[in-house]
Amino acid sequence: MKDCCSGMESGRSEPVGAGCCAGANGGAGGGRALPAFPESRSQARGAVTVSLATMKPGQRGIVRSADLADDDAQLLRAMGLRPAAEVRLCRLGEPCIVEVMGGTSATAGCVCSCRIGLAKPLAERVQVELA
Amino acid sequence: MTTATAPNSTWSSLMPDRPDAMPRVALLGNPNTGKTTIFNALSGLRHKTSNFPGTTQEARIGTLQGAAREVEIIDLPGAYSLELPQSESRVCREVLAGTLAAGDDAREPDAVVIVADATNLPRNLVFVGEALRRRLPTLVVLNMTDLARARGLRIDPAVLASRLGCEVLACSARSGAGLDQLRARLSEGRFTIPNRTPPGSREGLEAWAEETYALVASRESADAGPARGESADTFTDRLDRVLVHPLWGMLVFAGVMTLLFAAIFKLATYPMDWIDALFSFSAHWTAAHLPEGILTDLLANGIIAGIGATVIFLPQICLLFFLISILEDTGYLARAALMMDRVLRPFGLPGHAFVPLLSSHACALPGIMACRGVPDRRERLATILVAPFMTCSARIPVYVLLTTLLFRDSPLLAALAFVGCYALGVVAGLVSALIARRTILRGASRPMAIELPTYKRPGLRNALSATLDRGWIFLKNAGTNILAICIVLWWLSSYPHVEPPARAQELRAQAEAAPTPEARDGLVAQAESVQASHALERSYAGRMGQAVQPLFAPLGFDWKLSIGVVTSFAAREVFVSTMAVVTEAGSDDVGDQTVLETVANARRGSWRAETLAADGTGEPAQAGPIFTRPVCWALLVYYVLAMQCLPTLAVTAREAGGLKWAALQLGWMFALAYAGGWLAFTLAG
Repeated sequence: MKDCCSGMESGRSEPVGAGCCAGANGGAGGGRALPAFPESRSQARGAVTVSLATMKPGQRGIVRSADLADDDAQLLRAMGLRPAAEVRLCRLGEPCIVEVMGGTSATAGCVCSCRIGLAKPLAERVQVELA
Repeated sequence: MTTATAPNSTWSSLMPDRPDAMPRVALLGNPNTGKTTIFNALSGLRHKTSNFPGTTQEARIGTLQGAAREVEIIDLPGAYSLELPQSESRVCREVLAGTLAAGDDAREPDAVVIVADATNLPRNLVFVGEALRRRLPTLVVLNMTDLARARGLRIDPAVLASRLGCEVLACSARSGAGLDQLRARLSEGRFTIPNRTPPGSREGLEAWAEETYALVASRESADAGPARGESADTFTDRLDRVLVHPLWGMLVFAGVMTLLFAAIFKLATYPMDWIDALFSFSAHWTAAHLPEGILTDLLANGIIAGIGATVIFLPQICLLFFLISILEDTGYLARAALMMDRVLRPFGLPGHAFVPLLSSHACALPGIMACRGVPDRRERLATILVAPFMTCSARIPVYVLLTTLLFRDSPLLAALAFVGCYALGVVAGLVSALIARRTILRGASRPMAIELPTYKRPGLRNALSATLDRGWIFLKNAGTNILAICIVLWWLSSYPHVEPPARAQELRAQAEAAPTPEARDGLVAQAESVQASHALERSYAGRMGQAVQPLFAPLGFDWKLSIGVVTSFAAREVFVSTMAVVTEAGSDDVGDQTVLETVANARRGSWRAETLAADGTGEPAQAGPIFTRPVCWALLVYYVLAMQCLPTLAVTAREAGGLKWAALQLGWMFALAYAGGWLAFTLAG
């Protein structure tokens, strides 16, 4: 948890990040002050990053980036699927269901979370670093 | 329960310049936080629903019940953030800024009550942070604390209050715990303007929320919590996997929908029968007890019948919305929408369109209004355009008449044809959506992301409140329209007045000389039927039907049927009662075998036949029955597909933002109905 918090603090504030964020974010730009989905840079060395759609059910990971249109990225982020959030995949496939875990060391093991159902095209574009 | 932070201001100090004005409280929060449950509990079932001007977002305004002071509560739409471009987010933003109000009295709310879900606090705190930055008098309600505790999670309201710089009230809206305190607080009007300002940047706000959460949350006990939490979790996991499964999920979905519609048809019949009996009694009583004349006729056959024609649909509409609301409260509806996303997306519609389309099976009016929940503009327009293809309550009497005529000996086949009509409507709607999305509403489909709320026991109060809301929308929008249409129709089909035909006079003469009172009554009734049919044929409506008959000739409709189509143009259910008059059945109760017999044996009318009849040769032998099999099929297909509802067109124009959409809907549906009717007539002939 420590890692991802520091990652978030160092996260850049401009909405369109480098790398995989740049592609789809192009022209949309309808959002207000909400930055879309910057790539979180503090990846641990050797960690495996996969798309949400290739995780196994029950597997956990930390959200790193999302290559989505601004509108979708902002909505997902506001729904809790944000950079550095810990997620657990509940159901693979179409649709895919993820659980966003909100927890700290003090509440470890307690379920404080929300479930988000995602169409596959969205899930494929969310990159997760496996725990 | 627990409150914290000494309040520093009351309504009188908050509103020094308006001591007499009703304080205004805005209720704010993420979706699925129980905000609506709290609103319903605070305002009772009495609230007004209107639109925020210039938006399609609904504003629900209630008054605090059981309190010393009158306080106005506005239930704002649930939003995930105040900074998103979505309309619900914009409405929240503008109401807080004082630039938008449901009425014309736009001003900053005097206080903001933010509802936060204790079981999902990290995300909810980001929203709370956004709202705190507005620096309005604020109270944070920490809802679902009982559920959090059951999961082994403890949130300390006192620590949270000092961290947020405003009062925090823990409650559980479902069990009602803490609501009395909330009511008392609102009545006293003691609110603090938060003295902390969370960071403005998204990253900063998320970090702030995370830190805050770490400060206030702890495990209820060292050992009990996790185990219980995990078990609840696997239960939800398993249920979710079944409910959105391509096969099992679909089977459950089909089962739920079957039960839903079976319940509606079974249960709504009773109140509908009572309403029918009540209004026909009132109409008869009025006609019998008031002096004969145009005013009595207008009152009995125009106004009372018109009100009856509207109210008769209420039971089905209310029941469907009651059940939809129950399904929504359990958490199932979100799963169903998610699963339907996969089914609807190939047709260019999102999963969000599912609830509007389901609602349209009661009535297209609330269905089209529910399209507000579809986020993408093009997808929303496509949903609005095709919603009236879904079989609404008003089509049911027409389906019943025609399927019964088609399969008089086989109730099973009649039932199958009935279900087939529903399926045809759905398929026509989906294909039309696809065509629209490939042509005029071209654009990429927006894949769905939807929060799946925790499964829970539904609340009766929420369901009742939603039902009253939707029922009222129907009465307000359809009621006035249908009443007006009924009065116009009454006039069109009663004027100009004509002399009773020779045959009716003959029958009356025979009645005078009848040997028994029974025989006399029978002959008088027959004379009245003949006279009514004769009057309708020569009325303005009858002439219009005759004028458009050539248009419907390829579908096999004679001019009598054309009168039915014309009179039901504005409201399709009128078809059945018109046919009852035209065919001299004397009643539109198709359950009555003699009535059904008369309708089934009614002869086609043609100008030639009329001339023959006028010559005194009676019913011409060459005229066949009106309701032949091909004609019944053509009519059935026509009524599934045709846009015969004026109130729907009005609502389409309003919600889609332009008359052109209503015109497109009318033109497209009529063209499809005409082509489908012709095809059915040709294939069955």
